Amino acid sequence: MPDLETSISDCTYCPKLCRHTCPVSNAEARETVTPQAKMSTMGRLRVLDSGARASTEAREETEALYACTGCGACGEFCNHDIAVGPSLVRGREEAERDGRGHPALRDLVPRFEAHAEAAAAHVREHIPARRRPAEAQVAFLPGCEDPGIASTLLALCDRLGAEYVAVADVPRACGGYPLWAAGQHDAFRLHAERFAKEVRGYARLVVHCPACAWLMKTEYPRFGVPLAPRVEHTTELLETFAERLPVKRKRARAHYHDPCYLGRHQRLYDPPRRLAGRAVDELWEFSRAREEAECSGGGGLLPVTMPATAEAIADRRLEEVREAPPPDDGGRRAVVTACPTCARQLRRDDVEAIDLVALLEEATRPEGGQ
Amino acid sequence: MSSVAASARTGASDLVAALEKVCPGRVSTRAPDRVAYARDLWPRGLLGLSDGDVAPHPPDAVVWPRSTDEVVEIVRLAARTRTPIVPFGAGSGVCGGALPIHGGLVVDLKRMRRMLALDADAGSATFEAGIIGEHLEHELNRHGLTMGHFPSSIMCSTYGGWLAARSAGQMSTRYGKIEDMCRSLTFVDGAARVHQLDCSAAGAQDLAQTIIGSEGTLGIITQATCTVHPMPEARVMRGWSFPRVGAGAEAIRRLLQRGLRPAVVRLYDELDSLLHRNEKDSDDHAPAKEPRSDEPKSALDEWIHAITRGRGGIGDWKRGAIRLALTRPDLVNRIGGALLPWVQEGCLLVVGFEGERSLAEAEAKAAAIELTRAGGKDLGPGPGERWVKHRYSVSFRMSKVFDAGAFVDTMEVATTWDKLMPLYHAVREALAPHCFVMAHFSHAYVEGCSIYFTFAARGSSRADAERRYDDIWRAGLAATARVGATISHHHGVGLSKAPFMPEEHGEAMRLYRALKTALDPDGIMNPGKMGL
Amino acid sequence: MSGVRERLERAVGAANVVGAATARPGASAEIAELVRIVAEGGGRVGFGVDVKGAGLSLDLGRMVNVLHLDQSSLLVTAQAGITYARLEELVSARGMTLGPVPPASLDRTLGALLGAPRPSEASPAHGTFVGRAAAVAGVLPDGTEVQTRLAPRKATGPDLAQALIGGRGSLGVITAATLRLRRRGEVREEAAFRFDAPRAALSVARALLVKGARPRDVSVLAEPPTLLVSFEGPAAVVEAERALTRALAIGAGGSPIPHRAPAPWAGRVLERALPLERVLDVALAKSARVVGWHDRGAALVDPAAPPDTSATPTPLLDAWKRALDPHGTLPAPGETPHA
Repeated sequence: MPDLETSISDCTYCPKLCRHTCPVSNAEARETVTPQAKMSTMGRLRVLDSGARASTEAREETEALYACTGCGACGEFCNHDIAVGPSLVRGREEAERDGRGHPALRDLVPRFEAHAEAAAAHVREHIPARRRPAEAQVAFLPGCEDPGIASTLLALCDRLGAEYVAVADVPRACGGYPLWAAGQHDAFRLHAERFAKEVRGYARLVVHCPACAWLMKTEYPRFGVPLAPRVEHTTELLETFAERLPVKRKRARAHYHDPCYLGRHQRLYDPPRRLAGRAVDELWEFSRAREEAECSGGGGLLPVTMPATAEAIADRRLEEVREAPPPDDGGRRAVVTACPTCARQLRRDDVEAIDLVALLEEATRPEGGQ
Repeated sequence: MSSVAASARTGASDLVAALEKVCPGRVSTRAPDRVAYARDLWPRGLLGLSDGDVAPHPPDAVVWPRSTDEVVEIVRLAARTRTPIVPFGAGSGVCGGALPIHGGLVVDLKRMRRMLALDADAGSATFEAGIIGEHLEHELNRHGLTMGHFPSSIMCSTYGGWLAARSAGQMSTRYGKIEDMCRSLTFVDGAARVHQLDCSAAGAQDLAQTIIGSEGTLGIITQATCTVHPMPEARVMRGWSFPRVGAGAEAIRRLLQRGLRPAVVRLYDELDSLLHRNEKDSDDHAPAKEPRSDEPKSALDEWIHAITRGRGGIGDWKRGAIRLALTRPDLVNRIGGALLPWVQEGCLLVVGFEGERSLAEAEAKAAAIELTRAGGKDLGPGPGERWVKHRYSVSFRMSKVFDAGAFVDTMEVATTWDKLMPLYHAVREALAPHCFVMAHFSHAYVEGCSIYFTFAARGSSRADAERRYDDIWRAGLAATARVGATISHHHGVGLSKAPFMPEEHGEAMRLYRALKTALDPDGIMNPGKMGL
Repeated sequence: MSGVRERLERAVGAANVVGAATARPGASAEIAELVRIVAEGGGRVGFGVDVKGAGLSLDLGRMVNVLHLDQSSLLVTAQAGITYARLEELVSARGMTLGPVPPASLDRTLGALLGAPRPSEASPAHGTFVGRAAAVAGVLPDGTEVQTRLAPRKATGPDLAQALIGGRGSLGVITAATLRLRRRGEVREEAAFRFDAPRAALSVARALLVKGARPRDVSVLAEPPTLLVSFEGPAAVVEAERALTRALAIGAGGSPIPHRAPAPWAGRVLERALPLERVLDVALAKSARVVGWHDRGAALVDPAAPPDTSATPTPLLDAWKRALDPHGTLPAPGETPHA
């Protein structure tokens, strides 16, 4: 990726060849939030003197920097190899420093801490102590969106004869993605350093949230925080068991949705499909899948800064699911995905969004058992 | 930026309040939006960017309708208050046509993006006007169909914009331009009346053709039906080499006049071929990266580097030749014809057929015989297939040129075969003293062809650059008019070519003015454009 | 009117002012002068029929010259009074063609073909006949001469030729046009298929167009249900198109029969333009045919039925007319009957 100055310049003069992929500009149909407009806005803000940067106009313009989920779809079409998401995050860092960060993120740091601690508390409450030692070969981090998935994962592993899989015991059960995405980089570095200490007893850290898994693989090293364990996503752990899953029942049909942070950012397209294919008879592809998969709207803190847009993005993704014929058994249409945030975004009254781990647990549950 | 806020039209707040009732939550007067809608892709507009002159002509407000009914209400409100309206697709126009030079209201159609009807057996599809081209094509592909319309802006332009500007795609020789594809359209005129116009009814006046190409000056197109085709079973691409560009053009003429219908016909002149050669067959996701040396390069060298980037194997002497071309365009443009054939391997012609396999292959075979007879050297499928792979890449190079403090723009003109080579020479001669110019011939027809000139130059300052830019266009279009060619084949007129409309149409401009009086009596539709 | 008559005679010569008020101009400049004279006098101009009110009837019978033949661009420019038959004869002698029109249109003038086109005047290879006009010259209601820019295609605003083409003289008088020609193809072949019902024949004809075949002519007869196709072009292409047609026809239950052109109709008969979307739904009378196929539609023709003279109101056209011809010098839209 070229340096930030070059990226901004390349974007500013570009005929916006990537704009058709941006979920935010597609949902809002607004030129102000195309990747090009966001990058050139950042460019303009950077050259202002500190006085001008504090003005109302500058604050208004800064909002565009938050109109990005970090999905990376634009990068797939960019011949200049520009990474707009991470570039805008740097813009958010600059905004925080200037005191013109997004109003909805004003108290993000304490909220993050509370949320991550609550997730950790949930784990401690529901997972027996012996399954969450301080040291283990393989430790599972469920993440802050759906900490309950830890129990589901353990049940599944037990059925696979993988009782050695433990749950990571950390005081804040999150890799820190919200801090990074908000541009709170001092807080992020602090969190990362503490987290690294807390997980140094694990040989492999299996991270269920694709954004945090990506963050630990890519950003932790760039922030100077190496992690002792090897970091994997849940699907990398389970992939080795795919053929051995003791499947008792299958769903008739479900769409598979590639999470941006699992697909485009980590190139993990096939492992989740192999796994899902074991639990679903007809696993349907979206017409835009894999590198071209459309975002669910959950990343980049968009649900906090622009909730209506985040929902509109998810609805756009769900169009194809809703167009498809309903299942023969009269149930709801379903989407399976290996990301708790995507699952939350895609969940609707008329559409069941199911986490891949939950799907596999359901498929392998013994008859009449729990 | 504070100037943008301050320039809001007085009395606009009443209009905005009324618009909010029609399009709740879809009206904006916020500065960031007004700035974003104050530009299109007119290269002259980019010259001001590095100066920080971001939005010399912002609109007063932007509105996003969701239906033709809402568009009617918007136009009615604007007409009542004599507020200018600029219909907006995706702002990919290169002529300044979507710039709100008189302020007013930008009407962004992109919330109207649905496919409304599809009849594969009849080969027809209806879409709302605001759908982005790539999305439209993707939707059709899902049904095994294609519109066959591939402008290089397909990823950043809309269906309504295509119709408003009379756009052409890279395969127009087979599928036609957008005006050939249109079967019917719906538009709202400047008096808020809705018109439903049919193209397909032969035996009647084709009034849809008076709206197509009107670039927002007569009304707002809200939806249209176009011809669609089954996705081609086969595509046969091939490259040919001709010693001189005139020989290549003659070969194309013979090909078309034999009754063959290639999808792609693209002939690069000597200079354009020089740059096209050695195109590296790089993977689309990982373009060939050249290591950035630490040696400081002059801006000019950066630029040469940029336009030859990704072309592995291009030697230093060729870079030297290009450097000469850029610093002494007059020299090269004059001696180039003599010098270049000496040092390079001829003009590249890319020809492609597609469609039903049996038909495409039969035509390709007949074409090969014709092109060989015309003196072409068969280069095999390689050059043709490489062109397909990189067909949208050229647009990325724009950034590097402007980064380096220069500008690049294109002039696309067209005429009949008898005047084609005179047109080529006349425009090149007119441009040569001012800039580096190269050309390719494409969009070929039985009776003629289009020429696409790419020119690049640098100014010593912004004012100097703008002056050079204007001189180049004046010289180029004057030469075009002298030859009797048309000033635009598919980019349109907008603001930049408006001064040349009287020369282009002569007294027939009265017909356009009468249309304008008829459909936009209050003169609110995209004022200041098209020479009206 | 007498003062006007003197002026008319001065404009075109006394020999060319005929009867009560018919003038026979020989050039576009004369037509411009004539229209100006009539407009200034508050009169009306018509074409070869009873012109109501103080009016002038224009007879373009003298304007039969070919002005230019460009054999490298395959373009011919001719005055509006020349007939299709005469012009086709001239270009055929040089191995070129205007493209086919039905026998009933052979004696129509260029002005009539372009000004009052019929749905049947189209073919797959050449498109609609009006589509053959690459440029058109005319005279506006106030006597101004206009000429559209000659180019294969343009993006310079609305297609202003549409004021004249199909306008039946209401917005301007066509005085000349430049038409696109084709070279005669090397090979000509024909094929015909019989079906159980017209619908099958129509679906094959339509599928041929949609799949990108461009034969010289396609006709579907209702009774007995028959598909007739003529091919013209390079041998390999004709062969491929023939094979495709045969495959489609047999696939739809058709059986090959010898090709025989149907009896031509004469004069004006019922013609209705059909978009391809509706071509299968049309109810065909026994004597009806579907001809004039092109990429966007076809024409229903019934030689046994009288022509449909109803006109669809078009607000856009009415508004344009009011702006361009406020005094009503030229006929109202739809007023001039088809020639």
